[in-house]
Amino acid sequence: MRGKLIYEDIGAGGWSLKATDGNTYALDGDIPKHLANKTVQVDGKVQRGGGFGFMMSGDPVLVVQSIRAV
Amino acid sequence: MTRTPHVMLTGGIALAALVGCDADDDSYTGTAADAAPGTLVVDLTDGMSLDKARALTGLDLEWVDARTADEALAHTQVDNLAFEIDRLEDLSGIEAVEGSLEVQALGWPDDPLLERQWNFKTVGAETGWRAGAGRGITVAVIDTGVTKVADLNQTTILKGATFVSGTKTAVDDNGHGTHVAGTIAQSTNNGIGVAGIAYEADILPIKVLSGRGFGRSEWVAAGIDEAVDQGADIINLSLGGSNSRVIQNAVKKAVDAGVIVVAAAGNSGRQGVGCPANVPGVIAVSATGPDDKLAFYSTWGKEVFMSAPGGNKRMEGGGILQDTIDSSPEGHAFQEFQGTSMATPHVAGAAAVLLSAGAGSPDQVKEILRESAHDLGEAGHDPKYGHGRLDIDGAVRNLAITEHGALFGLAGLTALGLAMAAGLRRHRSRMALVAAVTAGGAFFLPLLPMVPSTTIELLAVPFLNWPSATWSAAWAANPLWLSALLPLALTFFLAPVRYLGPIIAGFTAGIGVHLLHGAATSSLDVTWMSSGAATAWLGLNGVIAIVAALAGAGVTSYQDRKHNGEL
Repeated sequence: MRGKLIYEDIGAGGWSLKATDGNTYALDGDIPKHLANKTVQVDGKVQRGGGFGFMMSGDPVLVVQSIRAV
Repeated sequence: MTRTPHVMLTGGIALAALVGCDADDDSYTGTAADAAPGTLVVDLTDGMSLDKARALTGLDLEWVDARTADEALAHTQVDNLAFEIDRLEDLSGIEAVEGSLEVQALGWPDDPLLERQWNFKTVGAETGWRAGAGRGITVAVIDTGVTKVADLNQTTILKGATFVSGTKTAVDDNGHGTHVAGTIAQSTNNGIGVAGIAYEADILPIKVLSGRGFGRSEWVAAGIDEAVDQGADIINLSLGGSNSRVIQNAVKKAVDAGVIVVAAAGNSGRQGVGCPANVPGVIAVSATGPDDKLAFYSTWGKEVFMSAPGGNKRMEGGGILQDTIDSSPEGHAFQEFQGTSMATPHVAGAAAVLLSAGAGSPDQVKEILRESAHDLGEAGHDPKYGHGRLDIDGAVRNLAITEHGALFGLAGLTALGLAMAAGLRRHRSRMALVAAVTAGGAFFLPLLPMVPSTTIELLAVPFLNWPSATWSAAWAANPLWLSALLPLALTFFLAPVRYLGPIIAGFTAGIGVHLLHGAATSSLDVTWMSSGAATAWLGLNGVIAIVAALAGAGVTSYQDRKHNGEL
């Protein structure tokens, strides 16, 4: 999945992906900070049922397996 | 922070005591510390010119301020304070002389960063601090865990549990849970950092979110079950997601068990409250900023029960400041966060305050929060602010006046009625009256501008609520405690003791009135009983306690008459 990586300053902070498919995903994974605001390629799985967390963005959770700038 | 007058008054009194500021004592005894260079302050005869003052003292005096010239208050640096004081103090034309004393305001609480907690001022947290501050109440923080950072040094953090795979303890590895716990019970008046809403409450950390802030529905459900099993009075859920049947079931069980469940509405910035905030019985909380408007990120919807400060970091200093873990060498830092996660613990803390202040049941807590909320947005309940923004000051006043005030009055009237019926003499009637209103709770004490003390906090709540205000809300709901057992025992063993009789009668009457009041208003929870059974139990025992009080008053009256030879 490809899109723009955004740091979300909510709670203790987290990441979201504004994907090129028009959806936004909350990202669950180790995200390098230097990728913030860059277009990235993310490999991972969308968590079934949406997932729980403190971000509470209402977006589906994408569990990140790998991420790289493109 | 703008210090309130009572704080300044208290500080002033304490300061006066410290510096020996006694109007009747104009003597000054130099101390060892004075045998050193320093600033000498000289109060000369009013109207004396500066030239004359310099000539009199032989010192290069200056007025402390141009406005002090008419009072002739001067100062200067000297090499040996003690010597100069000794030399000048008996000179004619000098009213007083001393070394300059460093004046430090002795405010309460003394947390140096409290001024940046605009959110506590907004909700009137200070009144809550005078009303128990959550003492004896356990608040479960179901989150990323809680770490005992420096400004939690005086807070009781229970062992808790973790349901996150790969972790063994409820220690925080993210920072979110510790921040949330800080809003609830940050150590307060410890001279460090910031304050917490219910700083006397115990924190039960239940870890269900990973170090990255995510978890699974079964972890959350298990965490809620565990919190109930470990005796939590309140559960804080600064987390959410899509609808989950297992979480709904766990929340329902918790609510049915008499636990207050508070949950974040969400951070989508749009309508649509998520789970568990949308589960019936949960207090769903939206977030406001320093401008008392809905925060840009806050989710809203019909399920929102109320709003509370969650911060808005787009405004300078607009976040919620608490102590939490970070990667610095110190291992912690005071950080501003924003989110409905931050709003939720304000309400959880307020609920703890109300329970420790003597609220008798979760329903009563919820009702008081609703009634006292500061209405924002559309009049009445609306989807953005719910019933309004949290107002702890109003909630404590509401509890004190409408609930405990009625009890106070009823207890007093009942004691007077019993005293008249038993024919007690006037001074004995007064003793019974005082004992009865003490049992009913001196409701007005938290409303007075005083620094909190355990004694005042206890006297402010009805006697039957003392367990929840001290060690265990669960014990306060025990049917044996909420019975005529104690009144009967007191009457049997102590009422015949002549000078104790009227006190025991009054106290017993106060307990009886509270039991009857609880039966009539459902303001007392009774463990193991249905609502109907609890009402019957409280009513029956209330009547028995009143009869015991009447018997006790009768014994006293009989003893007095016999003693006076009237029988």
